[in-house]
Amino acid sequence: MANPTDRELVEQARGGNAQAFGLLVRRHQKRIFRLAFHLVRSGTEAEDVMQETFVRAYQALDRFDGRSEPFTWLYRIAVNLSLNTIRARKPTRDATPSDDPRVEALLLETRPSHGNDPDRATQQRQLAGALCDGIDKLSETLRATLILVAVDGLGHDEAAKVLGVPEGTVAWRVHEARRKLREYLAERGFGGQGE
Amino acid sequence: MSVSNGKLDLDVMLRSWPAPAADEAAWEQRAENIVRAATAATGSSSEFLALFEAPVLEAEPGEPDASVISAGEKRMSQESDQSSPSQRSEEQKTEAPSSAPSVPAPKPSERKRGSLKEMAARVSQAGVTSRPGLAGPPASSRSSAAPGVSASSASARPAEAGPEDSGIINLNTVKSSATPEQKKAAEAAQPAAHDLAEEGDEKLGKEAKPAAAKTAKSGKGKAASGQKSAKAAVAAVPAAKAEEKKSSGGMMVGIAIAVVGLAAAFAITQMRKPEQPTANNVATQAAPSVTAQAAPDKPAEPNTAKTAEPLAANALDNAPSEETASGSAEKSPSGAGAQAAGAGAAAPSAQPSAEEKTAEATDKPSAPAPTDKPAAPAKPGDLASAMAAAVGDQGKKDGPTAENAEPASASRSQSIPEQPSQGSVAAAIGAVMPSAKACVAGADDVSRAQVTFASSGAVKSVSVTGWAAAHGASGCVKSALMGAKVSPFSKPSFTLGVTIRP
Repeated sequence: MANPTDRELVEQARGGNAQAFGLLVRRHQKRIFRLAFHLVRSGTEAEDVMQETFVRAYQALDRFDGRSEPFTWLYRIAVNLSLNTIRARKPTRDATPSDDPRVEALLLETRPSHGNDPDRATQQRQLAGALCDGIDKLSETLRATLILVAVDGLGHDEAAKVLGVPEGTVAWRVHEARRKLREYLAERGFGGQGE
Repeated sequence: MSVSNGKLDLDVMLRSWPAPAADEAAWEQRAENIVRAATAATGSSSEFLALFEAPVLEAEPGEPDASVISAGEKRMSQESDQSSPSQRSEEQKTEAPSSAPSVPAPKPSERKRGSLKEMAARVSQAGVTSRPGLAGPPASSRSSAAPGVSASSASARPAEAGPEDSGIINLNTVKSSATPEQKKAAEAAQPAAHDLAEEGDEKLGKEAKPAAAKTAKSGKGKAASGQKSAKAAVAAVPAAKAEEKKSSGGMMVGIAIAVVGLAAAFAITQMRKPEQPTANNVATQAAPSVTAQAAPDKPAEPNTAKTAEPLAANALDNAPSEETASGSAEKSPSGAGAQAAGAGAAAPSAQPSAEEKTAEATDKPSAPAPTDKPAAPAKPGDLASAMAAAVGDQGKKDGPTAENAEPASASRSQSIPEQPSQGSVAAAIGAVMPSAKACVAGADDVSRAQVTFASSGAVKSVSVTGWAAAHGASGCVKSALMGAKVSPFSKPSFTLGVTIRP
């Protein structure tokens, strides 16, 4: 089998083919981890969420009815587990700490652009911190939707299936989240006008 | 970073926001761990069913969720009820510029249209052919005009007075001299005085008493009552003349009725009392009609001529049959107006001499009666017997039941609209719509129902189509819609289409 589809892999995994399930995991683990990472804001917890997502999915392969894509199904499980993780937490910080892994990840991504300019690096860090703050200020609903669409790159239809809401609702939530985030950044002097 | 020239490309920034980096070996190791954990894991998926459901996220304020959709559905279900007002307002908008650009839209035109329709419906329901000649102006206008007339000077006949316009019956005086039997008869005749305009010629001709009551009520009879027999005491009533000028046909009928009434009174008098001189009898017949309506206006009575007075008094004693007319007339507003108008005419009625009265009174029987009934024979002696015969007929026809029932039913039918108003239909359907919607909760398609109201206002039948019919919920929808009730209407039934959206 050269390049089996997700559905075929699921069918094979249902039949007890662990390799097929392993292929499914390898195909989607990075995206699931990234999604969980942005939702739970912790690399370790995101890893746990990712692992549990696949374990639960494997246990429930028989429940997969094939009406949606397997990755949508996996995303839904991951979102639910991430939300459970967040809700199980004690309320902690008000502001994003300087060692927020998201900030580090963003700075790692953008480091080549500012080279060795310390001022630019400081500005980028402040921007990354403000961005994380702004996302954290959003409600759970807006944040989850924004991460699915704007960060993870799901289409509105796919996000709608994951969240179980109409596409229009997803669009409205994304628009609202962007608007609030832009306002938040603008209040802190970070442009915010770029569309 | 996507900040350039003070601008922030948020979307690009978010899209390219990575997770902590890891090498491929680490990812491979993670994958193996996951597969191992998954295959080793035990337990049923039913323990964590919630993970496979949609995430539970609170709706944001202002979010376009299901409530908005249902609100839209509500509007859709009411579109049939509310379409008319909107159409109406649009019509008004379109009409307004053409009719009165700077004035608000002519809303009353709509009401006017409805009113005409209602009137037409009433006429068709009553099954009555209206007679313009009999349908004079409203009683209120007559009654309002009369006092002014009575207060005015006692002029002679105005220029617009017709040759047949003349005297007035003093109904109060007649009433005071009435016997109990006559009062009963008058009461029985009251319902017939309901509406002169709705009476046909046949009735007027055959039923002298009720018609006389109507005549007295309408105000035309006041002038017509004794005009043939008492020209000497004629008084002009300008307001009455104006009305009579417009409807001379009605006047003729009124005259005929009054003559028949007088004849009936005379006949009764003749039956009870010994015979009197013929000329006097005729004169006394005229006298009450001349002075009759002067009774409300007490100062007018002393002005009556000395020669006429005893005759009039005599006549009043002897002519109690007018009681029916006066009794009924006094109880109706228009009758009061007639009396008031007559009061003004009473004052000048005393001016002519008794000779003139007597002479003219003798002419009265020769006047042709417009009705089919021979109300006034040529000779006085014959008149008495003819009147007696006429009264006998009248007495038989006086049965109040049929006459009473007719106006009552007419008024009842007039108060019931042809079909229920849109407002009442909307309210009735709106009241039961929630329960009907509950029957189709969760449906993925609309259901439709045809609701038929009986004339009593209750729902007669409901037919359900669409989703509810296909999924066995038609009974539930039917029972819900059967609870609707509108106000009674005259049409046999009224059917309405209702759309029920889940």
